[in-house]
Amino acid sequence: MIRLFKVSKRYPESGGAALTNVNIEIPNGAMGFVTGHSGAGKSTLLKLLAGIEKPSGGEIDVAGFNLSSISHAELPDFRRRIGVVFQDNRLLFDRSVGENVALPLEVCNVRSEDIDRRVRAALEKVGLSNFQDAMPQQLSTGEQQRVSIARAVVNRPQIIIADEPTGNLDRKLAQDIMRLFWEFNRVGTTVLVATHDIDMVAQMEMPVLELQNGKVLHNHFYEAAPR
Amino acid sequence: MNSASNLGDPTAGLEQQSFVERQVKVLKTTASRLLATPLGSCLTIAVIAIALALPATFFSCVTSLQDLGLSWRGNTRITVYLEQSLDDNAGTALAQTIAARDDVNAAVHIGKEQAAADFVQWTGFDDLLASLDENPLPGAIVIEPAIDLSDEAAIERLADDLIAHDGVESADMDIRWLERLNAVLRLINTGIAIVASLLAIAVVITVGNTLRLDMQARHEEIVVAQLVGATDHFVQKPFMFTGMLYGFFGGLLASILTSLAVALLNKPVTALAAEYQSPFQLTGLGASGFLLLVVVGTLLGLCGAWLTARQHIYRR
Repeated sequence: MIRLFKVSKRYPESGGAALTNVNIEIPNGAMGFVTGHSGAGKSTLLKLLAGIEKPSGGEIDVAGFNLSSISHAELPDFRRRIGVVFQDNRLLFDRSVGENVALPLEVCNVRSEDIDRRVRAALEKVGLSNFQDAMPQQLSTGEQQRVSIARAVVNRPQIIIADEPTGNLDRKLAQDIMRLFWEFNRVGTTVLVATHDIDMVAQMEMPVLELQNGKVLHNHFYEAAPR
Repeated sequence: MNSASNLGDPTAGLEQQSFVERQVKVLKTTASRLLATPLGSCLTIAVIAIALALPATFFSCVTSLQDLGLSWRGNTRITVYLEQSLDDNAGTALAQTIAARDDVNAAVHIGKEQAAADFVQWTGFDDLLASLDENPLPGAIVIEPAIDLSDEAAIERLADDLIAHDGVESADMDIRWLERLNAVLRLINTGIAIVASLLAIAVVITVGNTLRLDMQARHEEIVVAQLVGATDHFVQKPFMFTGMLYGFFGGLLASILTSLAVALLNKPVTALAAEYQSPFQLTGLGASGFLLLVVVGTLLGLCGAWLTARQHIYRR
């Protein structure tokens, strides 16, 4: 479950509030979108949910971890339980596709044979089974994004958080990526995708959290209640 | 691929590597990275080796001199010079009196004629001695003390007693110049310790700086690894191994360089010592010294890596 209660985020250097009083509760197994214009707070929200940043106020619970008070030592354990797809992929270009996808398992000290098996399965799932030994720079933008998704799901995460995963892709590739997320969601993974592609959101007919100037404009999920 | 039952457990149904497997894997990866940049790795190792070899070589030489001093200390004698007026019979009698003391092991009288013969043998100035009307060299008694030679008060007491004898002109103690030599060697040792400490810091800085550049080059890799759940320990480990390998091979090379330097110095030093009828020669590091230098290098490498990793990884 994802729960944000009265969450706010301020960046002292910019002086403004990136998020103000966000209350949402997303049940396990849900899939939905976070939308809003540029600067609405989508990326900030996803960074908070991925434990990349800490909130300035409020409570955040994700996958059983209280991210408002999570310690530095607990962060790796939390991050192993979620999958994050970054807008810019964040692939390592000096490593092969297979090695990129294997990274989340490497950090868990999984044996090589098991890593290989899981990596092949993940790449097959995203339609890149023949590219395990290729270097990322040999792939198209869409293929690179799919490698990034394979890396996010190779650990069988409870929650997938994707920040503008289709931002640089054409309509057809974007639909393919969304279909992939939907397939992961079908087997129980909670999926939250940040996008500014209104057409796609309308097409997918899924719950939406719309942000505007750091505040919730529309919330198709639940309103978080105090504990 | 997924099943709802084990979602969120990243290692469900997977076997984990043992501790040894993990270390071996990181060691292999680290060694491969070092081999991938042979010139850079060799330069770093060479800098570490030189920094360690310099004080090690000096220390080796000074230790040899100290050992020599200790062996000389065991053979230290007090030479009592007799008055010119004292004849050889009186000199022999005085030697026997002195030899009877509890604080003296032996006392050997060297007569005037013997002194002249020794002088000629050592200096070759037989013409000079022959040109003189009479033998100017006094008789002497060479005394082997039976007391602790580091007990300066006891030595002084013995010397005062010896000078108090009738017919004794003066007493010369070999120990004095040996003490001075030891004082000089202690000073040099302190200097070497200071230089060694500074060079050890230089090794730590060298390893630290090399790894800092390495970490900057691998910044994205570190960040991505942390984002997918790598612990600080996991991220830090390859750099620790790199520092350890730099230090280990630096120490190993330093041991070899020191042994070579001592071996090269030994030939002229032995030849010089032979001129003074001394069997002195430089002793190398020995097996324990060799090992110690490797261990010190490894520890310094680890130290440099740890300090840099703390600064660059833990502060994220």
